[in-house]
Parts: sequence; structure tokens; C-alpha cells
Amino acid sequence: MNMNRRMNIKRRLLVSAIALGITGALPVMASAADLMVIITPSPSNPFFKAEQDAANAKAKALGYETLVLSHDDDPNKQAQLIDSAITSHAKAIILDNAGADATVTAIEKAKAAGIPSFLIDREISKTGVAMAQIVSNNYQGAQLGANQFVKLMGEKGDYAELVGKQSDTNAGVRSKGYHDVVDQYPNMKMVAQQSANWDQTEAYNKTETILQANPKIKGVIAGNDTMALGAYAALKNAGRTDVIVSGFDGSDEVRDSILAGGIKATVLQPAAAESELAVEQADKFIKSGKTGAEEKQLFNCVLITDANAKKLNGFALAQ
Amino acid sequence: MPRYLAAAVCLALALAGCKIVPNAQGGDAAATQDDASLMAAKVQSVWTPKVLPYIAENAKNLDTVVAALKDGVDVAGAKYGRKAADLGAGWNFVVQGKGTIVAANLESRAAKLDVDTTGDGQANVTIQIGPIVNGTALRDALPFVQFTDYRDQIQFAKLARALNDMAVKAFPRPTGKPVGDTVTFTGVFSYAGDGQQISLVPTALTLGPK
Repeated sequence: MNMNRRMNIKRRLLVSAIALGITGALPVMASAADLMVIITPSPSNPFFKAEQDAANAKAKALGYETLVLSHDDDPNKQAQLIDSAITSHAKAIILDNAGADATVTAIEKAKAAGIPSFLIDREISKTGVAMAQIVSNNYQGAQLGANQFVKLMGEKGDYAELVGKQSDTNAGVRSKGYHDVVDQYPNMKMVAQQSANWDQTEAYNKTETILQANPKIKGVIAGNDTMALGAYAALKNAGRTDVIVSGFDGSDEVRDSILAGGIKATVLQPAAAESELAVEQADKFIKSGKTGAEEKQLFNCVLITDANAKKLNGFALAQ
Repeated sequence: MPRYLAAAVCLALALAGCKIVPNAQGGDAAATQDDASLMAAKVQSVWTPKVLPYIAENAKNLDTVVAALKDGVDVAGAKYGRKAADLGAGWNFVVQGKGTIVAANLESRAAKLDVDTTGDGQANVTIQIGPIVNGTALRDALPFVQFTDYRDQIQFAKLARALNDMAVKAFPRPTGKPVGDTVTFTGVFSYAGDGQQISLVPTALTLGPK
């Protein structure tokens, strides 16, 4: 047996051992298919699960073997996972990263080992390292959401803002995007702004308190859907379903609330579409040495209201 | 009032007109403030030499584009437009046209004119006359603008704002009751084929007689 064949089998055993728990099937020992490693935050958040599922399905459809992993928003764990992608001789890494600065080093290492990275959702602080950065246009999305919020508020009134987890860049990006629009309307008055840390229960409690202190409130704009759900529940409990609530992400739960006449709007980050595009560009790069696109690509968000909520499912909008 | 107090009041009033620009490392608020003025300066530098010529050279007749859109946005886009750089944003069209104002909302901060260019009495385009202009159609229509050249999506968004602000400053803002007036315009819109009303960002606008 020559050295190459032995190396192949060893590598496939390693990959199979890791993949076994995820795929539950023993791969056939045929010619080695190319490996794509998919790394995102924990799939306990349905948004990241949607990213994983879409990337996984697309890669498999294109004939790749896959390894699907979670870094749990820990840059150290992310570095370890990227190391394992290197030792597994992956052909590409699809990544929703755990930190704009920390990630640069990790994917530079992969690049030096000949493995290109294709980033989704969030940007990193350097260009020329990843082959693609397919970035969710959170700022544009926030502007869309705020626009709708202002419209529903009739361009005037008291409102509260629930901000996401301070350590998450997107919390700040979305808040800035909201204010970019709302602050241009002098009759829109923010009476409270608090972080509910992306958490539904915290949002419920904070909204209760805010409502007691500001009974004239007319609207609540939340940095994500889980906080919007918590806010709406608190308002409903207080008999204040007149208050306009909007969120961000495009989750199935908020879709259902919108269709039931509860929450008024959310903004979809097309998680599934971004993941699929990243895998397509990785495939193109592997086959031709080019992605066919600029490195940094903004992926626009879509406003979801009762007009299109029916078409929303699993962070994807049907045509 | 004691003299030192008067002096302090004068000093405070004098400083009120100053903008203390924090060090760029000073945090998010500082960075955003720098972005807005940075991007405004950038737009100043490219508006006349690059933006206006591009728009003038590429403007198609709006009615031609509207007719082509009936065949589908991809058909119309391939003929008359440019694929929007932002994914999911559809196509960008640079157009010029003339029509009658059938409705106007000048009270809103995001003032709009609804215009009929086809002569059927129905508005087929909404012109955003500001001061608040929504969307990034103008930024995304310009081929010499690339996201990769900007620090992040926030700075890129500020660029869109600076371009929109520049655009609505370019013409005198309609006042009074413009319904029934004719209007001639040049501008940009983006369209994803979703059946929404065309929302135009104008770079030139002239009101005609009633």
C-alpha cells in the first residue's frame, strides 16, 4: 500500500469518527470526497441552526463531505475547531465567526495551511484573509425596521428601545441603525432604553418596569425577536396590546405573532440564503480558484409584516 | 452678576458652538461621528466629477424601463439596469422622466411626490424629496463604490446617507400644493421585482407649470 492511500484512509477514519455522532452513518470507504467544515454559534438559537442546516444541505448536494461544529461564541474554542479543520485537510471552512479581531488570526492560520475561509453573517476586522465575507446588512435591516416602526407610530409618540447584549457587535449596529432613522423625527421620543441581553424573560421584566414608569408609551422597538416576544407578552399581560412592537431576525415565532396580530414587524436576516451562497462560492473557488465575487458582500435584510409573513419559514422567504 | 460668573457664561456660550471631536479610539460614538463627516467629505469630492457624469451618461427613459419591467425585473435589468451590489436588492436603474404630480405629502419628514408619467392618471413612481430619504439605491447604482473599500457596514451606510443628503440638496424643495404640476426629474431606483411602487431618489428635479 503506498503512503498516499494509507494517509487517505487514516484521514477518513479521523473524519468519520468525528462525523459519526452528527451524521449517524458510517461513510463508504470510496474515493475521498472533499471536506467542508461548517462552524457557527450554538444551534440552540434557531437562527444559527438554520445557517448550519442550509450550509450542510448545500454542501452535501454539491458532493462534499461535511463537518458541522459550534464555537459557542468562544474565540478559543473557535481556534481549536479551525485547527481540527486544518488537520482534517478540509477544502474549505464556512464560518459565522466568534469575534471580528480574534477570528483574523485563526483563519490566517488556515489560509497558510491552504484552506480558504468563507464567512457569513458577521464581518471581521481585516480584508485579504477570508476569500469571502457575506455579511448580513444589519444596519440596513435596522433602518428598514425603524422606518416601519416610525410609520406605524405616525411619526410621533413615546417609545422604548430594548438593546441586545452589549458584548455583541450586532447589538450596537442595530441600535445605531434604528436611531439613524428614528432620530430624524423630532416628535418620536425615546423614554427608555435598556439592554435585555437578547433574553426573552429579561425583556418581559424590563418592559413591565418601563410600562409602569411610562404609561403613555406607544411603541417598543427591540433589537431582536426574542426580546420582542418578551416585550409583547408583558404588554399583553398589562392589557396594552395597543402598543406597537417590532423585532429583528425573522423567526418563526415572531412570524406567528405577526400573523395573529400581535407583534407588528420584524426584519429577516436571510440566514439560509447566505449559507448557501457561501457554500456555492467555496465550491466555485475550489474548482476554479475564484469565487467570481468581491470579498466583502452585503446581504440585504427584508422587512417582514403581515403582508409577507406567510411566506417566511426557517429564516427564508419563499418567492 | 459677578465678573467671573459673567466670564464663565461667555466662555460656555463660546464653547457651545465648538464640536470637540474625540480621538478615533474613543469608542463607538466617536467612530460614528467621524464616519458621518468623513463620508460627507467623500461625497463632496466625487459628486461633480464622478456621480453626476455617471448618472447623465446612463439615464434611461423611465417609461421605457417601466414597460420593460412588465416582462420581469431580470429582463428589464439586463437591458437597462445594473445588478445591485447588495445581495437581495435586485437591480438598480438610472432614469429620467416627466410626469404629473397626482399626490403629494410634504408634511412628513420623508416627503414624497406621487407622479404619473404614463398619462393614465395613476401614479407609477414615488419621488422621495427628503429631507429624509430611505434606501441605498443611489449608493448601490455607482459602479465605482465597493463595500470592500469601506471599514464596515456602518461606514458604508453613512456613505449612502451622505449621497442621499447631497441629492436632495441639488434642487429647490417643492412647497405649497404641487398636485397637478408637471415635474421633470432624473434619479435612481432599485427594484427587486416585488410589485412595490417604484421609489426614486432624485438627483435633479424641476417643477413645471400647472
